[in-house]
Amino acid sequence: MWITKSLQKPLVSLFLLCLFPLGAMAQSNIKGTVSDEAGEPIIGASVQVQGTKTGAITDFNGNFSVVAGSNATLVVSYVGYTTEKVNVGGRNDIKITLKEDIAMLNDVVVIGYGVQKKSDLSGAVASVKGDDIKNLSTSDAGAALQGKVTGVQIINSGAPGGGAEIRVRGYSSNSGNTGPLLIVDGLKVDNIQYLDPTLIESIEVLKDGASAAIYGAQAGNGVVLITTRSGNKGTSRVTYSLKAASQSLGKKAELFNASDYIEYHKYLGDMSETELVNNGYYAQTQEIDGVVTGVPGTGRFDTNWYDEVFENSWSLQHNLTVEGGNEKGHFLAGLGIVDNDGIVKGDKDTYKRFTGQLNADYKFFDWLSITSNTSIEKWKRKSLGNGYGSFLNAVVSIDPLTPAYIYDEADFGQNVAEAWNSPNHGFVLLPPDYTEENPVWYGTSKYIEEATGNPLAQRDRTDSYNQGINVRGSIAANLMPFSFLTITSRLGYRITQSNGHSYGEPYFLSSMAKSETYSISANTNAGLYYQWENFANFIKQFGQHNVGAMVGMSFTKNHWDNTSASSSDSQMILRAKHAPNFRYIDCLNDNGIAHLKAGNTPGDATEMAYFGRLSYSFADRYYLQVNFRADAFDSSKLIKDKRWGYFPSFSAGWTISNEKFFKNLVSDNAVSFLKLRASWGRNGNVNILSGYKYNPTISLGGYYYFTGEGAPGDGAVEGAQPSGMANPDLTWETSEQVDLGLDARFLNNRLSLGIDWYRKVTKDLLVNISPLPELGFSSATVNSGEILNTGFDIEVGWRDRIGDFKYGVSANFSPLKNEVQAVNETLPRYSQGGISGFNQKMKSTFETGHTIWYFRGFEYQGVYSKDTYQMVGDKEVNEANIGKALYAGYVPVLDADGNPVLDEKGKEKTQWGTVFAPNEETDMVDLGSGIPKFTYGITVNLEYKGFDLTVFGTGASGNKIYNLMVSADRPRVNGLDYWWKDSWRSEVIKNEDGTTTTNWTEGAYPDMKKTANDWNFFSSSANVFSGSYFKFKQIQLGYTVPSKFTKKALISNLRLSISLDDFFTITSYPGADPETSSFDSGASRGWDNGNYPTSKKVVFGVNLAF
Amino acid sequence: MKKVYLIAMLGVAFGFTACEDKLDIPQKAVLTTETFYQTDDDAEQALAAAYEQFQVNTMGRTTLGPGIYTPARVLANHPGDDICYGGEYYGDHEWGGSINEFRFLHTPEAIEYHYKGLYLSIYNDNLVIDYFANKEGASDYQKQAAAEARVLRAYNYFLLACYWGTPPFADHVLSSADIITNSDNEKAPENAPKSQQAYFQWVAQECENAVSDLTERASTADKEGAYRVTKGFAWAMAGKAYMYAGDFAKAKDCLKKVIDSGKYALVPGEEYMNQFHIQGDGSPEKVFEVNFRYNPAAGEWSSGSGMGWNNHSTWMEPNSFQIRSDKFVKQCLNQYTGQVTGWGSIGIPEWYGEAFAMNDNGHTKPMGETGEYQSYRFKATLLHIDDLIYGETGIESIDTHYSKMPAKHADRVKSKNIGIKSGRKGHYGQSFFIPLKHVVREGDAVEAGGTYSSVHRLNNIIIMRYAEVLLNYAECCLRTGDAGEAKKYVNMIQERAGSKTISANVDLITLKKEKSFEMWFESCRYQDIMRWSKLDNDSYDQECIARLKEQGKHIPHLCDKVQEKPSAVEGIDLNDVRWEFGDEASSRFFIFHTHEAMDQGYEVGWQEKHRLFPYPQQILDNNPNLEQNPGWK
Repeated sequence: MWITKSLQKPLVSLFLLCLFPLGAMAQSNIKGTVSDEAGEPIIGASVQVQGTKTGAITDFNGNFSVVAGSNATLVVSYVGYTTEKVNVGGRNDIKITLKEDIAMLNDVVVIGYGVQKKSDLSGAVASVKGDDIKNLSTSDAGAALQGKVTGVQIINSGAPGGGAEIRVRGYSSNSGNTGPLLIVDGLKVDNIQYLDPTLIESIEVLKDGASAAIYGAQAGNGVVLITTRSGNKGTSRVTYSLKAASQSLGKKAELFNASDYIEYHKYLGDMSETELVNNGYYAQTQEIDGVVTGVPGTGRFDTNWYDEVFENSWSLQHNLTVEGGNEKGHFLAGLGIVDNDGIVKGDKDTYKRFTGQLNADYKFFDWLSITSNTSIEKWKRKSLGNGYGSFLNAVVSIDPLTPAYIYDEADFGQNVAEAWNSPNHGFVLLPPDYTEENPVWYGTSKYIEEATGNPLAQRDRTDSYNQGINVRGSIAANLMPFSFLTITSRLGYRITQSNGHSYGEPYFLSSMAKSETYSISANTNAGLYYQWENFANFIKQFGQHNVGAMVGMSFTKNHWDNTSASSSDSQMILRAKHAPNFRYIDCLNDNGIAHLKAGNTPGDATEMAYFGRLSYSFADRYYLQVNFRADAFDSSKLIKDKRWGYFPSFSAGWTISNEKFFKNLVSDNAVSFLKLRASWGRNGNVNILSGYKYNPTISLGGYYYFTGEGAPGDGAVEGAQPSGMANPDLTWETSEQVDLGLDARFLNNRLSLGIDWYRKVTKDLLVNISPLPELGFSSATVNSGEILNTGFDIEVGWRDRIGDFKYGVSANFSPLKNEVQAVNETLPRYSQGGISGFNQKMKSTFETGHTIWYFRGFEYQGVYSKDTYQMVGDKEVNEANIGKALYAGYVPVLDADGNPVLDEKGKEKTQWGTVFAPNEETDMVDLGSGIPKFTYGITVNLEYKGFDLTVFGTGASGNKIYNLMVSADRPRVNGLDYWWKDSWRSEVIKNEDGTTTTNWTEGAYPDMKKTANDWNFFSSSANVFSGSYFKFKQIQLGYTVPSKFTKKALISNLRLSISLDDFFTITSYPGADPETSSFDSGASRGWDNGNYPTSKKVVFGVNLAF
Repeated sequence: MKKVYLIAMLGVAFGFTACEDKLDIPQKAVLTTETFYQTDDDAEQALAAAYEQFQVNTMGRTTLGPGIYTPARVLANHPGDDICYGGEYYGDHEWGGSINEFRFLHTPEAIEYHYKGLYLSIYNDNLVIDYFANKEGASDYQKQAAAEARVLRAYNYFLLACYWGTPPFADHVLSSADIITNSDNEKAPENAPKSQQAYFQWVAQECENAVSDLTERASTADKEGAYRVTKGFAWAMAGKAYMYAGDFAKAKDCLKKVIDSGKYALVPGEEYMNQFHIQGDGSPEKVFEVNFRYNPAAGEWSSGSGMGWNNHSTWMEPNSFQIRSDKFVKQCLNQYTGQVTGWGSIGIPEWYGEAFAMNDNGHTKPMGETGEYQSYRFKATLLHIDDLIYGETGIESIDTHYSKMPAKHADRVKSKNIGIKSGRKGHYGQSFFIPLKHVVREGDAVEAGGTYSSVHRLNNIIIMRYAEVLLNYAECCLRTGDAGEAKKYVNMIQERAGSKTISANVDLITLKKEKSFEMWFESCRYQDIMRWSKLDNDSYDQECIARLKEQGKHIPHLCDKVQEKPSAVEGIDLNDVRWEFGDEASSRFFIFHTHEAMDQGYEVGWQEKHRLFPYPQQILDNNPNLEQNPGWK
C-alpha cells in the first residue's frame, strides 16, 4: 500500500537521521551474516552504514557485503526485529543476531488517509498481520479474521464461495446492512471475499467511533482497512504456495433413522403396520416387530440422507507471487487460483476463482512517487439453496424409509405412479442415467407429501450459475514538496461485470414438490465505480511536540446498468425441446417470445466528502487527536437540503509508563508499557438509504380488466396510485460511541494485555412501520429506534522462548451486550424474518428492552404429571392430562370459591402462571437470540527448530438456535429425534379383569402423542437450543526444511504443513454445526431448518520461495 | 522546486472544487402526485387501481399476503355451522381452524389481514372520490369513475360494519394527523355512522346516491356489465344494506329495481354448476364479480407495484378446497382439477350434508350405480363419499377409468385399490358428504393463451349473484307482509335448482333453509345467522346457534373399513362410530369424532362475543383511540 510506504520512508529517515553521527573513515568491503536468535538467516534485512547513504540487503543465506570504513557502525534492521548497531571494529566476517521486537513499538498501522505508529494511537484500532492469517485454509480475507481480533465477529457460511460476513462491535441496525466499510489499498470495495489471505500485508479494524469518524456516514458499523503486500525490498523473490484441502462432512443433525422413525410414528398413531406392509416396506408382517424392538436393518430401506448427499471432496488453492524492489520502488505480481468443489456429491456446489494482483510503486523524483494497485478477479459459483422447498431442507426433511434411488415402479411414492402413467410421464423427474432398458428413478416418499422431496433430485434439477469479472484498482500520485508535507491525489475504481443464467422445466417429485412451468432467465450486470480523493498530510516535530494534520476531500460515483431477460410458461418456450444446447434466450420459440420479459433501468449514486484530522503528541506521553468529516449523498438517498452530515470525533491517550514518576515506581521488567486511551466519535450508516425513499411518486403497475374478451393482456388497464407516504425528514442511522482503553505489557514485554470498554448507541434506525392501517398505506419508512451495543474487547498475549523453543499464546474475548433501547411509539415491537413456508408461531422480534431479533415464543415449563399437576391449579391429578406439555401464561386470579376476581374496570384479573394452551398475544416471551453474548478466540503457536505448531480455536456462547426441522402441521416430515428420545411415553396394559392400566415412562419432554400436532410446543423454548460452541478452527503442524538442504535446489525457503481445519466442534446443539446453522445473518439469524453443513478439512500445504 | 508548488497548488485547487450538483440525480420512470389526477385517462388509471385494490385487498390474498387462503372468504364462511374445518390433522391450516372452532384467543392473522386489506382498498376508493367526485367541470367519465369508487367503498364499509360493528370511518384520504377511532366514539368525525345499523344505512345511501352516475348492464348477455360496478349492483347492495339495517321496505324497493331492470336472470339448472367455474364468468346471474384474466405482462409473484398475481388471485386456495390427496389410496379428483394437489381443508358437517340431501334429493344416498336422483344444485355443491370413491356420478372428469378400479360396483365396494388410507386416523374433518362447489375444475386455471399455474384459478370471484338478490328480496317481502311475492321467487330458486322441495308455503324458516342450500360458501351464512338470531330467534335460529356453540367439539374423522377396521384406528372410541348407511354390514365408510382443540386446553364453540370480531391486537397497541369490541377486552 502506497500510503504506508510513502509515509514510512520519511518516518524511517527521520528516525535514522537522528541516530547518525557524522564522520567518514577508510573504506573497505565488509562481509557478514544476519540471523535471528534461532540461528536462521534473515533474508532481506537492511544493513546501513551509519551516516552514509551506503547500504545493502541480506541475501538468501543472510549474507551481506557492504563498503564501509573499518571503524564504521552498521545499522541492521528488519521488520519485526529490533534494530542493532554494530561497530565493524576491523572485522570482516561479522555475525549479527537480531532480536525479535516483541513490543513492535514502531509498528505502523493504517488509520485511513494516513498511518500512525501503533504506540501513538489514541483510538481503538486492531491490527492483524498477513503472517498471522496466511496459513489458514480459507480463501476469503473476511473469514480469515475470525477469532483473530477482539470485538469482531465473523459469520461464516459453510458453502463454497459463501462469503463471510463481518460484524464490528455488535449489531447496530435493524437492517441486514450491518457490515463494516471495507477499504482495500484505499479503495472502497463491496466485499473482501476475493482477497486471498496470502496477499495481505495487514488488516486494520477501526473499531471505535473516533477512529472510524474519518469515514463519516459510512463508518457506523466499523471500518476494515486492508493493505495488500507490495514487493519486498532487496532480492527479488518468487514464492509459490499450495493448499490442498480434503473436505468431508462435519457435524450432522441428529435425525430419525428408519427404525426410530417407525417406532415414533407408530406410537403417535399416524402410521400403522398395515400401511407399512401395504407400502411394501416389509416383505412379511413379522419383521415389523423386529424393527420395533430395535433390531436394525430389518426394514427395506434405512436411508441416511447425509450419506447419500455428501461426499469427500477437494478444495485447491494455488498462489504464485513474484516480487522485488529497491530504493526507488517495489513490484509485486500475484496469481491465485481457487477451485473448491463442495461436499455435495456432483458439481452443483462449486466456487472457482482466478485472481491476479499487480502492485507497483516508483519514486520518480524526491518529490514525486506513483503507486498503482490492481486486482483482477474472475469467479464462478454454483450453489444450492436453503429454505422452503430447497435442497438443504430436503436433506433433513425427507423420511429415512425412502431410498435415494429406486429401480422398480412398485416403489414409486405417493402420486408418482399416477403421474408416471400420464402424458409426458407427468414430468416425473428422471436421474441422468435413466434409460428405458435400465430404468432408475429418484426415490420418492410413500409417507409424506412434501415440498422438498428427494434432495438428490433437487440437486439435479438445479441448473444455474453466477459468474463475473471484477477489476479493482487505484492509481495515486504522491507529491512531497517538503519533508513534512505529502499531497496525494488518488483515483480508485471498480469495474464489475457479472452474469447469471438459469433454466428450469416442469418436474414432478410429489404433489407438492413440482413445477408446471418452463422458465429461463439471463441477466447481465455491469457497473463502474470510481472514487477520486485528494488529501494532504502534514507531519512535523518541534522538540518534544509532534504535530500532524491531514485535510482532504473525496468524490465517488457508482454507476450500474443491469439488464435481465426471462420467459416462463406452462407450455414449452424453447425451440428445441429439451436439448441442453438450446437453453438460451436466443432459442425462444414463439410462445417463449410471447412471454419474454426484460428489465433495465440504469442507476447512479454519488457522494462527496470533506475531511480532516489533527493530531498532537508530547514527549511520547500525551496524545490527542481530532477527526472531522462532512459527508453529502445524492438525491436518491436524501432530500437536497438534508444531504449533508457532520461527523466529529475526539480521542486522547496517556502513556503512563513513559512518565518519570512511573519509571521510578515500577521496574521496566515488571511493567514494560502502560497506556490509557479514551475516545468519543460519531459515525453514520447510509447503506439503508436508497431509491428515493423520502419521495413518493405515482407508481404504475397492477392491472384490472373491465373487459372479458380478447387475447391475454388485451384490455388490461394499468392502475396508478401514490407509492407511499412522503417523509422528507429521512436521514441515515447515526452512532455515537465512547471507548476507554488500556494497553499494557508486562514482564519484559512477554505478557501483553489490551482492554477496551465501549458503549455504542445507534439511533434513527430506518424502520418500516405499519402506519395505522386506516390511513391506507401498508408501510412507511421512518427514522426511529435506538440500539445499544456495549462490551469489552480483551486481548491477552504471552510470548517467550526457551532456547530454541519459542512459544506464544494469544487469546481474545469479546463480551457483548446488545439491546434495543427504543423502537417507535406506533410500533413498540415488530416481527420479521423467520423462514417462509414453515408453520409455527415463533417470531423473530425487534422490541425495546431486548436483544435485536430475539426469539419470541412460549416458555415450555415441563410435563403435567403426578408431581406437577398443581401448577395448573388442579386439586388432584387429572389422568387425562398426564404427559401434556405445560407452558407459562396468564391465568385468571380466582377467589376462594374458584370464581374469577374482577378489577375496578370489571375486567378479569390475571396473573402469570401455567397453562396448557398459551395465548399468542399475551404469553409469548423472550427466549434468547441468535446473537452470541460472548465470542472468543485462542491461538497457540509453538516453534522448535524448523517445526511449528499452531492450534487455533474460536467459540461463541449465549446465542440460541431455533430448530424448525419438526413442525406441528406436518408431523411425518423427518427432523430431530431429540424430543422423542426423552419424552413421556405411555403403555396401556390390559388387566385380567378387562380394565386397563397406563404405565408411564417419564422424560424431559411431553408425550409426543399429545404434542406432535401442538404448534405451541414447536414454537416454545423446548426447541430453542443453546448455539454455544467452541471449534478448533485449525491444528497445523509445519516444518520448514533447513535452507542448507533446499538452497541446492535454489529454494530459499520450503515449508510443508498439514493441518486439521474445522475438525473438532464442542457443542450441545443436536442439529448440525451451530456456527453455520442459520437461515441468514439478519432477522432470521439462528433459524435452522437445514443449512449448508460445515466441512472438516485436512489441509496439506506447501510453501516455496525461490 | 517551483514546479512542485505549482503542481501541488493545482492539485489542491482542482481537488476542492468538485461540484455539488453531481449529487442531483433525477428519479427515473416516475410521475408526480402534483401533475396526476387531471384527465379522463388519469381517472381511468386511478379507478383501475381502486378495482385492483378491491381485487387484491378486499377479495384477494391482500398485499400483506397471507398463505393459502383469502381473508375475505375465511371471515365470511369459516364461522358458519355449515363448515367443518379439515386438513391433514388437527393443527393443519390453523388460520381457518381457529375461526371455525371459535377458539381464537389471540387475533388470528386472517382477521388482521382482512381488516387492514379493507382499509387499503378504501384508501384507493377515496383517492378517486377526492380527486374527481367534486371536481369542477368533471367529465361524465370522471363522475362515473367517482361513483364506481363510491360503491366499492360502500361495499368495503359493509364488510367492516358486519365484522367490527362501528369501525373507524374515513370518507376521504386521511393524513397521519387525523384521529382514528371507532365511529361511535365522540372523537370520530361528525358524519360518521354512530352504530352498526347506521353504518348499514350509510352504505345503502351511498349506493343509492351513486346510481345516477353509473352505467347500466346492457342486457343479460352483457358480460362486462358484471365486471364493474353498475346501477344493478348499486341497487343490489343498497337493498342488502337496508335489509341489514332493518329497513325492509326500502330494501325491497331497491332490490325490486334490480329484478325489474331485466338485465339479470337465473341460468338454467343444467348450468348451475358452471356459476362457480370459468364458464360462468359474466353469466346472466352475475350482478358483480371481480374479473380475473390471464395477463402475460403481470408476473406470478410480482408486477409493477410489486403485487403479482398470487396476491390478486386466490392463489393456493384451490389446493385447500380440493380433497386431500394423501388421505386417499387413489386421488379421486385429479383429472377433475388438473394438477391441483388437495389439502382437504373444508369439510361438511354431518347435519348439513344430510339436511341438504333430504331437501333437494329426498334421500341421503349416493347417486351410485343406480343413478339415484340428485338435484343440479346438490350435485354442484356436494359429493357423497361413495360417489367420490367409486366415480359413478357421471360428473365429467371424475376418474372412472383408473386401471385398478374394479369393473363391477360390487367389487369396488370391497376393493383395497381405492378408498381412504389406513394409519392416519381417517380423513380429518370430513363426513359422508364431500364439498365440491369450489373445487377448481381443470379449465378454471386456463384461459386462452396461457396459465400461471393450476393453483391460480382464473374464474371470477362472485361479489353478488342474482340468486342472492332474489332471496334477499323474498326475505324483505316476508318481513313486509308480502308472502305471495316471496313464494314466487323462492319457488323460482327451488325449481331452477331441480330440488325435490318446491314449497307450497314460504315462511321465514323455509326461506332460511333455502338460502343455506343455495348460497353454501358464498359469504352469507354466518352473517345471516347473526342477523336472524337477533331479529327472530325462532326454532331454526336457535338450532343454528346451538350448532355454533358445539363447533369444535365433535370433529368427524372419515374412515374406510376395507383399509382399516374401526378397532385398528388409533384413538377411536368404538361407542362413537357412525356408519354411512346405518350399520357396519351395509357400509364401507364410517365416522368417529375427536375434539383435539379442547384436549389441548382451548375453549371452543360460539359465544355471544363472537357476533363481532375483535380488532387486531397489534392495531390497538398502536392506536390508543381505538377501542376493542365488547367481550374481547
